[in-house]
Amino acid sequence: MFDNAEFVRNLRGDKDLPRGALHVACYVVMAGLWVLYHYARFQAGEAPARLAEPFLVGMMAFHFVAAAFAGLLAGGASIARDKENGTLDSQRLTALSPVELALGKLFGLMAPVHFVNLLGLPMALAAVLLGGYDPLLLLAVFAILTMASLFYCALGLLMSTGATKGDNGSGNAMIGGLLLTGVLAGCPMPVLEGLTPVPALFHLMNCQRAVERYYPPLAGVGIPIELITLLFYTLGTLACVIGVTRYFENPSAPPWTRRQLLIGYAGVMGAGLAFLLSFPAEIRVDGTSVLLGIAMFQSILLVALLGCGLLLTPDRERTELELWRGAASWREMLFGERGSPLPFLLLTAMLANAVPLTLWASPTFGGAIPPQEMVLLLVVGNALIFLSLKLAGKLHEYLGLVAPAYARFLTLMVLLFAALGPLGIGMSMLDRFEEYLPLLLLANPPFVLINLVSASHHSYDPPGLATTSILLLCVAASAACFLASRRRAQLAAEIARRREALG
Amino acid sequence: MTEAVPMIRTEHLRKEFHGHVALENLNLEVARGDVYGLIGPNGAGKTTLLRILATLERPTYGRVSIDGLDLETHPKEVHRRIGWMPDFQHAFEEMTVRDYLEYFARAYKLPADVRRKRLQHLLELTQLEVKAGDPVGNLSRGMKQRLSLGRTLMNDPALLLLDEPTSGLDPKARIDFRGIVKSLAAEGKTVLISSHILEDLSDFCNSVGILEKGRMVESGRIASIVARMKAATQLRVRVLAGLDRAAALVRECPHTVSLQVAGEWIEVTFSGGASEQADLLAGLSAAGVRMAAFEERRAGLEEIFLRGSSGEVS
Repeated sequence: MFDNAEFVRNLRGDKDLPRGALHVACYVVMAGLWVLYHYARFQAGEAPARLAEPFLVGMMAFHFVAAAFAGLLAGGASIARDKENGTLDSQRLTALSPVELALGKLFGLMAPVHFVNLLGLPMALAAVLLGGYDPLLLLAVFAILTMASLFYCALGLLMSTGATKGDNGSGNAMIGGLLLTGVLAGCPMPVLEGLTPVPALFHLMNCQRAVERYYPPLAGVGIPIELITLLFYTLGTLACVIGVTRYFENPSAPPWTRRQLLIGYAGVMGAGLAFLLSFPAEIRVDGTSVLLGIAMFQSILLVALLGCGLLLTPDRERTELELWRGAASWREMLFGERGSPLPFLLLTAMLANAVPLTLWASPTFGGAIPPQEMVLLLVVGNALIFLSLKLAGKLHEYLGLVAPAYARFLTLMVLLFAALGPLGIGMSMLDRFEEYLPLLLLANPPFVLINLVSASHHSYDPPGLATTSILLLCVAASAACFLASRRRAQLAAEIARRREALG
Repeated sequence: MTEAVPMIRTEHLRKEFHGHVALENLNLEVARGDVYGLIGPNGAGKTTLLRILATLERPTYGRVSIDGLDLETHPKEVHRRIGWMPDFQHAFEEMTVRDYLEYFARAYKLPADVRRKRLQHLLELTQLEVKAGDPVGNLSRGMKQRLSLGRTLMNDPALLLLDEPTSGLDPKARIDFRGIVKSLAAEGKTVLISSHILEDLSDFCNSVGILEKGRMVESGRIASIVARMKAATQLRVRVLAGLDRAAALVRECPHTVSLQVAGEWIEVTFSGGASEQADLLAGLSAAGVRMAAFEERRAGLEEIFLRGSSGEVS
């Protein structure tokens, strides 16, 4: 009999990661398939002819989750473990280019992770044949699974570059992966349907869900959803590999250059644009939904831009390095240091606002937004995003100069407090839950924006709260700019003195 | 490259980590073919310097070149010229010794025929032939260090950067390791080796540098440093009777730079030559000082270190 306790004990003693991962994969996949089989029997009402469909759909979803977890765990540990053991430097000094190193690590990880997928192949084949499906279906399904595994391995590798110990790397990757999965699962926009393999599988198996009946995927130009899924995973993998490559080139540099971010952004926006344009002409969306959709889009965008901004903000070591090399000048004092991410991020925000607004205002979608509201959305929205970015970036720069070891933690805490603090204070002072929600406006520019232009949600916008929010943001961003610039100027003067002493 | 171009040159090198200065205004030149010993206590900045030379850290300020190539602008060309060995690293423990070397041979993109010959040569050089089929995890620490050296030599580098290579090894393993480095030096390779164990370096270094708190307090060929030190020789006089009288006479001598009395020994930093030493000896004898020894201390690596630094080393 299979002794679980002994198995787990052996596993813990097995320090050899690939073998350990394989053991785990075999055990989990076999146990999962067994559960799935019973689930499919239940769904099919004990009718053998109907068994294949629920089994295959469930199995692919299960494989997707298993491969994602295995990829994130193994990927997250990979580079971090090399750093922990001191083996990374020896590899960086070989004749291998950073791209070769990144791809070598990625495909090295794929072998055990893809093994998880292959374990299900015989049962999937049997189900396909018994269910009367075209065997070529399996090829498409496994292509999507392979790309999904590749993406999660690459994402794990990228997260691993930020950790110094293997276990921390796995933890980072799991948190990052869970956040990403949460965003994908929680977002109601049909465009995100393409980002998990399950809708693609439904489509391949000629199943239809409610969302597909209302929003046929790319029906306008006839692109099936599985291709969108493949495109997403390919672009995502590419972006992660670029980040890892850049890390191998210079571990102390931020993960992406502005040019790479711009290319990535253009790719994502291009794909989104193609998707939106492909909607059938008969679909009409009402103004309230459009505004809420834009608010949600801007919220997600703001979080993403804040993340990029914080990653690109130079830490103390990089700032000092720049100052030692004579990067300080009057221009930088006034407009920010060389390589500041702010102009780029602002440009990104402006483009990001303009593209969906233009699309949603177009006749294709019924011209949902009046021109004057659109102008207001663009101007005020971009200004608010600019202020938020400025506040976060400069605050982080200041904290990075005065408390380098705790800067990330402190910035995160301050931003979390800014985002949720008013809500928490309100909840402690008021009685009814719905009365607290307006306080979220204080820290959420997109929702401030929506409430400025839309009367449909006036109940969420008590008089003066939006204006207060904007004013608070202005004051906070100015204070952060002042503190960071003063500290940087002090450091520049100190370093200039030391340079003079060196001759 | 011409002979005049030094293998290593640093100018005003400075490195800071989070406000802590690891290296300060460091100027260093190591000639081609030299075996340069970098001496200093733990935390002096030896590892930081070696990591900068290996392009693994970027300097905060200053210029560094290897074989005339600037590290900032030509990192890949520099990689081809160097072999870097850290103090101790966990290798890929599940691999066999041969697979480990093969992995790096492929990573250095050596052609198949060169790879085979190189692998065999390195197994012989590091005396690991009999262990070629064993997993790296089963090797002793000394063997792992030799394997690490084998990996370092895979691309046949002109410059070897060895960071505390014998740290933590038993005496036999240290002797074995020193033997290998000696043979590499005899092949004409430039070696920069750091250690806080003077005995390891005294055997084969022809140049040394003393690093203390990030600053190079002494650097150059051992012979020239010793010659420089000769300008103020160390004398030791063992006095059996009349110690106070002897100390007073020595202090009065115009060539005495400094003096220290320890038990029955008087240790003198003396600026005079052999003739002045003879005069001092005659004066002490004439004053009735009973002496058992009057000797000039020979300056070796230990002497250089003790006089060049605060002496925080084993």
